[in-house]
Amino acid sequence: MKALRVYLAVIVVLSALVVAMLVSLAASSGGARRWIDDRYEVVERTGDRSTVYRSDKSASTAIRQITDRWTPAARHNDSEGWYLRYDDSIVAVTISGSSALIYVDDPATGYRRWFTHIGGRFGSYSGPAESFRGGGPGSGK
Amino acid sequence: MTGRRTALRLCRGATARCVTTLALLAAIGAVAAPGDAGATTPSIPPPLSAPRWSFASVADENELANELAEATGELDVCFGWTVTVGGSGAARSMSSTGSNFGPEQPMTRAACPNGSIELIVELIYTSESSEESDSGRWYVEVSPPLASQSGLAPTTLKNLVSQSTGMSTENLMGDNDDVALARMVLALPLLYREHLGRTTSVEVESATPETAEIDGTVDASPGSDSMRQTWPVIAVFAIGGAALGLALGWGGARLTLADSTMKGVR
Repeated sequence: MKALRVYLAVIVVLSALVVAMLVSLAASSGGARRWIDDRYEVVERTGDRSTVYRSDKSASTAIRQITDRWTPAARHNDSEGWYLRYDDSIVAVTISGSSALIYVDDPATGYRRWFTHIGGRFGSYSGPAESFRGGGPGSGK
Repeated sequence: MTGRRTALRLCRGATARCVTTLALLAAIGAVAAPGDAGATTPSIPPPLSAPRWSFASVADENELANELAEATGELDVCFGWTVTVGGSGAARSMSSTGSNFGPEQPMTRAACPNGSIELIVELIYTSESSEESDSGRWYVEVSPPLASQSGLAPTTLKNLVSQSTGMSTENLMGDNDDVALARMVLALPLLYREHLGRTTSVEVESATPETAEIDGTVDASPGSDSMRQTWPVIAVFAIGGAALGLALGWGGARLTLADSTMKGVR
């Protein structure tokens, strides 16, 4: 009987751990795209493919808020903006006066929009003089 | 930046090898690319306090310098970088300098009357036999008159570079050190522009060019955002659950054995 009680306790504890894990997963469901949609003011929406948001905070604050909450699979910046790669989107943050514009596109649209900035980094790039692949998702760039 | 092996990476390990390699690179650079160094502003003399080497390929450094030059054209402020690499026992350190004037072109007060912003990186590589580990530091220098006029403190700028790019000293000493350096340097004009409140995109950027005009495709999905976010929690739960299961299972087995023994005694 004692052994049965112990095994029951094991099952209960493991079940509790699984439930806690599922709750944790549910709390972070939706990804970066939905989180941004809930948080920032929409400026322009183009179907399901693209949405542009405005943050009343500075661009560097916006990029920090987003990356603190959602770790990107890959990231890049140049002298014009910050670019993040997520599961179902490419997010770009640019300066707009004292505030920021946040572009959230599906990967194909985002790659096209920001190709001159992220070409070869979040995907393939074949220029006239060279052909290379930069660091892709997961490379931590 | 193309992510190939760089001079910084060659420095990891034995100091003797590092110094030899860097000296070789400096010699090759001096012979191979004298035209590149003076192409933009031949009037500016390069500082020769330390042997030169390149943190990346000539093409990558040119690309970085060109992007800085565009920013300087817009913002009227100079931008640049200096990376110094030393090692325990090294007779001389090696340095790589560049700016909006070009690779190996430092910034001078005469050339930058409105001031300059520079990323300074100092890396120390120790020998394999040393007990000390490799180390490094980086900071931002804002020259007069920019420092007094803009109210932009170097420490604030450093924090903003770190937070907005996600880069740190570890990245500057890692496998993609050239990429890290380029991103940190390019963040300087970006953050200065933000500090001025100057707009980079007045209107919403259009999603052109069309697909046919770009020669490349985006990578496949890098995996779930949620999973990337919660995998540490899941790992803790999994390890904790497995450990607990094993412990309780072992306890249960002992109790069963004890029960059997007691029955046997009776």
